[in-house]
Amino acid sequence: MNTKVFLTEDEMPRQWYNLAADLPSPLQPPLGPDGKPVSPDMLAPVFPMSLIEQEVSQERWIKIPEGILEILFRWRPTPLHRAYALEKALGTPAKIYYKNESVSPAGSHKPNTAVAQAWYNKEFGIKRLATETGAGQWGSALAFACSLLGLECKVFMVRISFEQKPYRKIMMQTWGAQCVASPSTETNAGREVLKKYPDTPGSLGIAISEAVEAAVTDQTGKTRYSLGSVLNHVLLHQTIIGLEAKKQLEKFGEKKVDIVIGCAGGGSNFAGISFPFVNDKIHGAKIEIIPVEPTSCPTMTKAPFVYDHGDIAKMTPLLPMHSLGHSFVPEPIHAGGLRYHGMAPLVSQAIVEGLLTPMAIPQNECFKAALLFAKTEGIIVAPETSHAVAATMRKANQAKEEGKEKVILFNLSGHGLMDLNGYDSYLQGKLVDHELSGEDLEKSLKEIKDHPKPVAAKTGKW
Amino acid sequence: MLGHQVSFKYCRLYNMEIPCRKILDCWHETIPVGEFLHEFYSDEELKAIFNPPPDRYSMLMDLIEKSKKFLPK
Repeated sequence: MNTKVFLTEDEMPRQWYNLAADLPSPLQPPLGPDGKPVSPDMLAPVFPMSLIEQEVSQERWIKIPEGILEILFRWRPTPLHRAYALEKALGTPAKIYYKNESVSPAGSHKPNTAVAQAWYNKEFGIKRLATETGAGQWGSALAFACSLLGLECKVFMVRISFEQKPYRKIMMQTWGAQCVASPSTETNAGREVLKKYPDTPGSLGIAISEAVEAAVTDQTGKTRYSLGSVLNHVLLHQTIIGLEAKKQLEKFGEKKVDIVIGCAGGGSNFAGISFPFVNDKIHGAKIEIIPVEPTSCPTMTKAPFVYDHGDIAKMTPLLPMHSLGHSFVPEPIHAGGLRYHGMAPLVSQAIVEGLLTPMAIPQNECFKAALLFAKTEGIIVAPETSHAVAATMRKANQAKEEGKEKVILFNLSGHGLMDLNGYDSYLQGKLVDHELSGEDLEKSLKEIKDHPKPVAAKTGKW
Repeated sequence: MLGHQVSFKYCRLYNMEIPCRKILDCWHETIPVGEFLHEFYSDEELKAIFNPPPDRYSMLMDLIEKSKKFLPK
């Protein structure tokens, strides 16, 4: 009875899978602010040409260069576990498998693309990468990758996180990266913000502005920008997760998987585990594929505010500040990694097509599930990952009620050892879930009835 | 996004001292945030706050163009 299955390095996939080649309703080409298609040279100030080519590629399979494989071998292939102890605790006939991406040196799936991006930049002659980070997971992954490839790394970390999460900052510094609180005095964008709002806690939008500026204004031309989620090439690099998992399921003797689950913020880890299975579904396989998000900040499920599938970084024009109500101070909320403000277009389009079945789960259920997982399987998962764990338990319990031996696969995208304050809040009983009532929903919909809505195209096959 | 606790003030002043576009999504469980916004912001301001942003490519192109202005001539 195998508890986990490894692949040898020889068995690791040599190609990434590009869902853009198979989506029944193709993504529209990216458009610039003027509404005209973005040409590759327009993105050249921030990305090397090889990554831009991947961004717009319609090739189904893209070869993983040997140089990238050699670095990935340091922790890949990652193990696929059978969660026997969890199955026993749940008393479910379902077979639960999880792909353990927490074994990477940075503790999450993020290095899969960080290494690839750093490698392509180095091949292009780039000496330095600049990026932004919120919680620090992406910043530490890129710092790790740059360290291995001998690149300099500059990370603009949202100030509030810089101050509240010192260990992530130390991780980045240990790998040799320069991590500065954003807004900083090192860029024009940062200085302008600090001049107006010296006490600002920062935001991802400001940090992105600083990182892009650092790349564009380096007169040596040796600095580029790197992004950890949302873009097509980022999702592409993550598909090694699902491709490995397919081979490992075969080694476990599984001929098919019934349910594939991943938490979804910006979409990269979800895409990584699921896109190879989405391909199977497009070609006729019956698989339920579930991106999971928090009920507290939904963008894919019942959210009344579904108009927003965009990104937070754009700064809207400055409006007059209202002093009234500034004494209004409710209890803080926990802002886990899934409160991300943009979903990858490829994931969004797959939802529109009906290929995915999004699910939202309240935070208490997620942490309850994470505690059971820790007590049975032993791993303390990242708060984001707890959403995938909770969804898996829901499906396993459903299989128990139905008496069906379903095969469930989920992505354990990262460990939670750097994000324990969410666990602390849960254990202290400080996390509160509230359901959005029908009345509230109606009221909310009324509030946004005049707001612009996205246009969606679908084939109607799923 | 941040992996730790955030105050309502942070979300309310997120975007250069105007509310984050996702403030309704993130706070509707906790407080009557819709009422709060309608009390303190005009319809025009609310539209500006909730106006969908450009996609990632447009945002990048915009930032690239802005950054180019800082290059020495």
